[in-house]
Amino acid sequence: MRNDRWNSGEEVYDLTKVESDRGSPRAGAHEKPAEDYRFAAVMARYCDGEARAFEELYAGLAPRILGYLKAMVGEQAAAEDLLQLTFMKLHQSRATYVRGANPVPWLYTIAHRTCIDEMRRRTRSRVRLSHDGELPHEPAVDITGTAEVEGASEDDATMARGLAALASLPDPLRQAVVLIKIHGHSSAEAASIVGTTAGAIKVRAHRGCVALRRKLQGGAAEAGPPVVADEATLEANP
Amino acid sequence: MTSQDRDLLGLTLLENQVPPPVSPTLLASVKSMRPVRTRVPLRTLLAVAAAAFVFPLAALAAYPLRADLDALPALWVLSVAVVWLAGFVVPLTYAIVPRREQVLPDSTRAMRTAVLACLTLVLMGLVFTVDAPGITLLPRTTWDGFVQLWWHCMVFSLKVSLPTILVASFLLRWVAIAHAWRLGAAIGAAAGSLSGLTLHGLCPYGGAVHVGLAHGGGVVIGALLGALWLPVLVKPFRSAA
Repeated sequence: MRNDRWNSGEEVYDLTKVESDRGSPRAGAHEKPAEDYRFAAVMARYCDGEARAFEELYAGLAPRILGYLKAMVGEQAAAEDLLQLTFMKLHQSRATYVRGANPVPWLYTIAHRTCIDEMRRRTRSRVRLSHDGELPHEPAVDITGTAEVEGASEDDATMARGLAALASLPDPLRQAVVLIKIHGHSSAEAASIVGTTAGAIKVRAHRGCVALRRKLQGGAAEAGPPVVADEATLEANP
Repeated sequence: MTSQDRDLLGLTLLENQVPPPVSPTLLASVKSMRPVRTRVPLRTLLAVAAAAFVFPLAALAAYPLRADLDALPALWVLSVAVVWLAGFVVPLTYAIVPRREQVLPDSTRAMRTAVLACLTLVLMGLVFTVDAPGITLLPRTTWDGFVQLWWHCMVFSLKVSLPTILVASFLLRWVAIAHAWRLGAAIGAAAGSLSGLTLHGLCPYGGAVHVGLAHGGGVVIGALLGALWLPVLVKPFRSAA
């Protein structure tokens, strides 16, 4: 069960656990290999022009990709837009697919790059200032965990606190934690998604977990600023 | 379970987000789609390699082999040729062919081989060059003489590298979505190595400095060109997507 990874403090700090999944992708992290490789067959049917296969692919992978994007950009609406863009890019580049290959890391890579491109676009876009030169006030977003949303479920509130802590991590650490610890990718896969080495991403995941635990011990409410991915650090490599 | 652990546990919900429905634009594209021919990496590899071989083959047909070839140790000629060839095959393969069961090539691995090829081939030229005394032509020991011959061999390298990078950027336009510069460096280094291999058989000039910095330098310049140009050439496709 996934929860076991978080139940034990030891496991969060245990680098050997991270290292162990290098040889056998996902072993011990999630029971996903068979599921992921099922998508290879679905992807092949999709490339053969079967619209139903796209629906299967979307139903199976969109929740995970959306979760990743949400962890990276921190806003539900932005994450949903990026999800649509990601699948549009997948659709346009489906001829790039290599039959028999696992499409999941590829889709994550597309999502990751789409996210970076969006951050760049945001950085370049004009910002309307008020007369006194200050940014106009924008309502707080519930996902930051700084405000409780009325009527939100306990799960939502729990996730908001977790996201707030996650937001305080530097982007490379956040990517590593999300990909390896939350989404259960092997370190080799996570490294290929982010574009770094397996060793570097393992260290980042470990540091991220340590930092995350420290943040949560220090109080989730003071976990830091809203989740805003910085494209420079997203792009950064070891 | 502590409250901190519950907070951490909340993050696992990130995997089970409810996605929005597919956008109408995407849905329309999907409904009107046609079957596509999927990528066969080996075919791409052969296409890029073929583009890289055009100029070297033309040069081999047009120019005579170096005059001192018979006077040089056969083992040295052969082993150096094998190293140049490896400098072509390995980076090119890693830049185009993905790891088993992966869709995209491993850009980190490709870049490492590019760096390795650059270092190995420059050092090999500087350290392991053998000349046949009295037969091998040696560049003049003046700065002008060195630069003139360096540029001559560098132009040869560019004639191999540029078409290779152009063809690769077209064929990898949807593949080089991340860290295209690393793939470009590997492809450029591979093309530079192929030009080095050709010059190994054609260039009448010897001398460790000339071979190391002009022939080996072609690998470095090819890698730099690839790293600079491949991202620029594939960018329009990324933007269009």
